[in-house]
Amino acid sequence: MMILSFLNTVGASTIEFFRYVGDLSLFTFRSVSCCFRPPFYLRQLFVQMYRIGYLSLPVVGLTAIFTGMVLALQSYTGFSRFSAESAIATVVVLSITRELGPVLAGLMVAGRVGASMAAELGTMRVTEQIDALSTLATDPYKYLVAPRIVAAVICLPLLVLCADAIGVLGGYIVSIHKLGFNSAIYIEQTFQYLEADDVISGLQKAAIFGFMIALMGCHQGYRSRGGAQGVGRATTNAVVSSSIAILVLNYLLTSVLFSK
Amino acid sequence: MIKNKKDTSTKKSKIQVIDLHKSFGKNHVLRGINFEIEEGESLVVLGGSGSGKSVLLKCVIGLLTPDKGQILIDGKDVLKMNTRQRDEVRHKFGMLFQGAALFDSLTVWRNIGFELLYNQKLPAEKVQRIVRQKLKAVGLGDRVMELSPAELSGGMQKRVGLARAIASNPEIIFFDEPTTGLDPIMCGVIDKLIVQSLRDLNACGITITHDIATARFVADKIAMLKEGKLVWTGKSSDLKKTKNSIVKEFINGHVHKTDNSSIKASKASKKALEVATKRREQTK
Ligand SMILES: Nc1ncnc2c1ncn2[C@@H]1O[C@H](COP(=O)(O)OP(=O)(O)OP(=O)(O)O)[C@@H](O)[C@H]1O
Ligand SMILES: [Mg+2]
Repeated sequence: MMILSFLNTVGASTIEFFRYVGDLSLFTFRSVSCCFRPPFYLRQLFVQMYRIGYLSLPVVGLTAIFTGMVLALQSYTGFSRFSAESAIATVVVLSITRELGPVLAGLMVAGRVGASMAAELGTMRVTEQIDALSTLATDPYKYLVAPRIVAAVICLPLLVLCADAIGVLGGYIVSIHKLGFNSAIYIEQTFQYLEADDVISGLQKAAIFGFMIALMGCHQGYRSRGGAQGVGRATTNAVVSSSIAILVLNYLLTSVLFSK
Repeated sequence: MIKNKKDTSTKKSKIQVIDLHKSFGKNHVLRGINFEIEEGESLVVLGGSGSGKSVLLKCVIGLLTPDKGQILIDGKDVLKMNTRQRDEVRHKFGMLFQGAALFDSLTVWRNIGFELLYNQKLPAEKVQRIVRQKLKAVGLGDRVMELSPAELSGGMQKRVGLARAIASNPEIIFFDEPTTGLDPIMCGVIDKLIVQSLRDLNACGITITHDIATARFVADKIAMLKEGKLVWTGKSSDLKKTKNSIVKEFINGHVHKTDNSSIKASKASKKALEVATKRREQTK
């Protein structure tokens, strides 16, 4: 009996998993194709860019500056043991542009924006507003989903660019005022080994993370059902699944694409 | 088709539904629905709560895909159309949702003018002018234009929903329980609005309701939905005379509880009032 019920559970969750994957693929395909086919709702796009890009700036900036600061402190602790203090500037700038900028900004935006997308679309679903859109001869994918995805793909790299600058600034502040570095030398060391590719690879990652955040948020919201409880569940799922997607994709992208 | 040849008196079939089936998992909601609506005709669908009335409307308008059956709009099967043709058909519809379903991120006037503003790309001033007209038609003033839907009462939301449904001059309008949860006076107002907007636009309509009074007022034709089938269809005037037990039960359930008793009650209260006023006069 126990084995049977065990198999039952495993089978059911496997089916559930494949249904989810299939549904997500369909949703992705339809959303992406709607990003390229008119009509385009520019007003919606600008609203979303404002919300995702501009309003996320404080959170992302705060994360970046403290990360840069702590990074300088920690690497000083390590590197001073074998008198390699001159490498600190390089370590800070490379870690931030290649890794921490995109990942931390991605996770912060996933919490902030992914959740609100899921909640908003979820509420629109359960109050039949999405159905109402269709009856007004408007494709909800084009009006709701496409602007969010495009806005996230555009805004996340911009946010990460800001995060890079602010993070490096954080490292600079700590190094100069706390660790007693010379300002001119620190700046020179920062740019000495930095290549355009380091920044660009980070921005590419950011665009992909932005896509995942908007996709997961919209998908969970769009498919939510069952009233307020369903919307709550959709919100949680959106944040969890996009955070996991960011972490996994970050590894895959780094190991496959950018490991030069 | 044969019918059309017989009476060529301009009436054409607008919506035709043939053997429509829809189920959710094991819940077999619609089990073979058949009906036909001609141009300018108003159909009312009666039925108990959970009998599948909203599902029926959503199938016809294309929000749900039926498992089996045909839906002909102007003689063409919607289910066999490609996306572009279906979009064209969508332009013919307007719908008032059971919960109004106003977009709460937009102001009232953008809600009402949504299709004109975002699809037909009319300039904002022109849309506002049309919106004012439609607001007037549903008995609301310009005052509400800039409000957000959350600031309106339930009845006002229903009326804004109605204005949105008729704003782009649709040929077919669906009303899902337009009067549920409103006070009796507002019910009367909404009933009149429905009849008026159907007449003004020369549109055909399907109205869903539990309310017999609304049904009598709005309908040319009435259908009764029970257990996934239309168990009775007839003219509005046939409703009283019918011998169909299910319909009788539905009507009488209502008539005894509301109409008759309220008439009796009002007669009784009138008498009581008369007695009371007489007494008061005597005591003076
Ligand atoms: N999206 C859905 N998924 C699963 N089941 C559904 C869905 N929509 C409706 N149902 C089921 O279909 C049945 C009919 O629902 P429907 O909303 O059409 O009822 P109704 O006749 O409109 O009732 P009411 O008068 O209360 O609005 C119900 O049993 C409901 O559980
Ligand atoms: Mg209903």
